[in-house]
Amino acid sequence: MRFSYYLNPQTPGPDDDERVIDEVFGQLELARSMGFTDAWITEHHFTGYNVYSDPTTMAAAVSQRVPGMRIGFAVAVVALAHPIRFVTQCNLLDQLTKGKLVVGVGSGNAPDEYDGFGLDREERYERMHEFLDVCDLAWEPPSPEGFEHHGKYFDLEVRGRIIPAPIQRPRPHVAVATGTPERIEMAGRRGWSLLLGPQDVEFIAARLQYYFKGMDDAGLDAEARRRAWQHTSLVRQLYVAEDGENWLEELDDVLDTYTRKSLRANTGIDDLPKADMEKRRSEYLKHGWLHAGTADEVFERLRPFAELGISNLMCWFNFGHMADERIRASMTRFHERVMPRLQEVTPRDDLLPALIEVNKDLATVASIP
Amino acid sequence: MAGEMESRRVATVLAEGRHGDELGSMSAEEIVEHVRRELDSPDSGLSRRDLAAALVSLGDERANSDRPNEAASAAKMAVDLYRALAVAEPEVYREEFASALDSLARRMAAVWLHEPALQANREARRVRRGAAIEG
Repeated sequence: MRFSYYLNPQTPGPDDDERVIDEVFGQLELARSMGFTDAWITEHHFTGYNVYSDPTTMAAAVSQRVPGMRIGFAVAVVALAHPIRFVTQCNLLDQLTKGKLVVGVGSGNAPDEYDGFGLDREERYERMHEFLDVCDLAWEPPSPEGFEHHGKYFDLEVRGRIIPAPIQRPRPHVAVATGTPERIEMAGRRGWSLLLGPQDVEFIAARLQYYFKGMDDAGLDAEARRRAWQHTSLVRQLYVAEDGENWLEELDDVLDTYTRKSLRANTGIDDLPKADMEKRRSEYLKHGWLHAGTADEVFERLRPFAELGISNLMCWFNFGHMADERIRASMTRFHERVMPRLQEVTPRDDLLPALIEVNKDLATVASIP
Repeated sequence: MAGEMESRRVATVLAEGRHGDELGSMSAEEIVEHVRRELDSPDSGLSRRDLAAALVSLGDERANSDRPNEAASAAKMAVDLYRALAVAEPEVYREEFASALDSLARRMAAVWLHEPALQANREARRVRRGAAIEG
């Protein structure tokens, strides 16, 4: 298992943006010094759920600040972008990272983002698929003279080539965040990496089952499988508490902030009645992104993913307006007391079938009956 | 016959707003099933509006009792009932329908079911802005 620094810091407001961005770069430098190999960058607009919003500009800055680190998007919301501009930016980023870019794409979810960009959210999947068709053409054009595309959302003719070319030929590696069985299988068939979210381990197992089926159906060779699996990644919020720390009490404001900000970003709902908000918070603590507690407790929460053989853990330390000093202390404890133990875990071949046995319906997400 | 009588009793108690006292031991799913059966009965004289309002209230009560699945079931059926009423008489039921959608959105958001939460939230906003109500 390798470790990545996942950048999705929330921001309290415009007067804090500069400070939060500066702190994130400092944390990233600390992460690199601790042996974190990748920086994974995301995209969220308008609500304060993310401080930098623009993944390609942020990635360019990261490439210069911490040279040598791999940079991935988890994810770029491509339905909000133009494919020619995006491929151009990705190729340049691949140059800047010396061939270490992973292009993670997704359709996004947030209603405010679609409204803000003046796009119809209901068309997001269709738009994303056409976007990716154009990217395919741009990365592997049928002729050196150029290419054209005439579709529902994009109508264009490129005379010449996209400059610069990427270092990874013919294209930077692609990853995708998706939760539906059909799209997960498609990711497997195409040899894309899979980006895994906050679900409990039995739902992650179901997703992997679909993913491997897609790979099998397409007859992917060993090298294509290795490459796809290498960047298949799991993201988790982490807080490693000090010995004896009552972290639940200490992080009360952080947990409250994250619960509220994620509500607004994902649903467009500003607030909930007390009982619903308390339920949301307790669900977050039981089933969500967050793995917090002593080093032993955090290790035990992460161990099943190491036993599944997940190769990349995207560690999300900065969330809920947590103070820089606290984040750094948590990162240090993770580095000293959790990372070495996770690296020693041997993947178990019997775990995936055992989890599928628990989740016989192969549900990829929890639901209310 | 006994089943029908029980469904009528449950639906009547609910419509009269007495669910907290008399239906506390039943799950919201059971109550919803009785209401559905009663409304399917040809001689049901119960007001759909009263039942829909009572289901919203039942959803609130179950949410406060940390029974989120039941709260969601009640909220969903309230939306179904108000939707039918609002399609027939949009100007009479528009606000109540939107409020029921708000309740459903909250119940879904409480358990991190974001997609259904935002669908309900967006529909509530559309309905309040005066959009045509889809059956």
